[in-house]
Amino acid sequence: MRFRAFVGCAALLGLIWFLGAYMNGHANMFTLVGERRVENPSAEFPAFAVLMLGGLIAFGVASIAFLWLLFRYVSYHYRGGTRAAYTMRRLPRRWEFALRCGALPLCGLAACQICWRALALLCGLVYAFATPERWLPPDAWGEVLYLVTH
Amino acid sequence: MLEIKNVSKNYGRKAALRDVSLSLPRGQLVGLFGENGAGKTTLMKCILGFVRYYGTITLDGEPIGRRNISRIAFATSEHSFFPDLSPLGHAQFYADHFPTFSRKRFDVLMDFFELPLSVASRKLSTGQKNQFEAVLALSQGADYILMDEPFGGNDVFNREDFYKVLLGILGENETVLLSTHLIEEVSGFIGRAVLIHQGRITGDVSMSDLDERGESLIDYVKSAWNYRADRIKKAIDELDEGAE
Repeated sequence: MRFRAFVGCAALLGLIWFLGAYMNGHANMFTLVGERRVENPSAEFPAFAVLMLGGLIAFGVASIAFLWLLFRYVSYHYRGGTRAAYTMRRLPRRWEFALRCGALPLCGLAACQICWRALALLCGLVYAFATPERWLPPDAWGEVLYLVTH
Repeated sequence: MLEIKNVSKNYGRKAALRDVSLSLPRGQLVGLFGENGAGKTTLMKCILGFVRYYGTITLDGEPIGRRNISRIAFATSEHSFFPDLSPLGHAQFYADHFPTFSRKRFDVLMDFFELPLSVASRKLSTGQKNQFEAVLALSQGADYILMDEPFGGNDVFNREDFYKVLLGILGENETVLLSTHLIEEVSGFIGRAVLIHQGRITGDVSMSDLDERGESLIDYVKSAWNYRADRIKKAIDELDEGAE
């Protein structure tokens, strides 16, 4: 539940931010001359990294939330007037304690990484192929790929 | 046989255990006595591998590790159950992780102590928590049961009941190492007393030996710890002299 909520919210916020920033950037490329809407030659279309800033922040926050969850899971075994960690550390299965505390947060962090890249790729495709080429910086696709792979 | 050989443990510069050696054969009820900070809890934590130490601790000749850790159970006054899990949930958890877990013993002891089965364990009273902690340790199916001050917060009748149950249910191969301050109270139930003082084993005697010598456990403990009964009188006399 938390897993889907954290990753889902981050992806949704990232997408909304991108679409909003993209449409805003698109609108800023035009100016009104009288009642006519014409392209503004001095206007610059935002760089891809700027459009993806919201997604980066959202997934950053989600990643922090998963780290917080890891801390909560570990600290749970030392709270509530009891030290359940003593029981966990006595279990015959060596990795049980680490798995119970770490599995979900670490999978969440991995999911954040994967979803962030998938979102960046999806938005990058929109950016690279739906934007008029003359508005794009010289190596726009390279910028997209850089963000997806780093 | 649980064998502790030359075990030492330091916390920073403070020595918690100094060259402790002790053998615990199967089928004994052993009392571990010592003042606060004597090293009782540290010794148990060393046995369980919770803290690093110098020396060796073996169980039937093998170092204690994942392969044999389930042969040792632990009940502590700090408690080690899961606060949000019910006693029934614990039974399931123990059955999943400890192959020798005895559901029958668990049910009998829960029933005996009249503990609720379905509430979150954190909602139990302090006395009930202690009882539940002991129930889990006794039901694990371990050969060695380490109990560290398990009765803090329980009334005397409750404790009396517990000792009797302990004597009644323990199998002939089960060993209990019971750390407590209640020396006189447990003297009738244990078979052997081990004294620890400032991290050192200062006494190790079977109750039958004490009986033969006509010595009580509390007198044995006092002599082993060089307890000076006259110091109270001396202090009072000094106070009186000051008042005059």
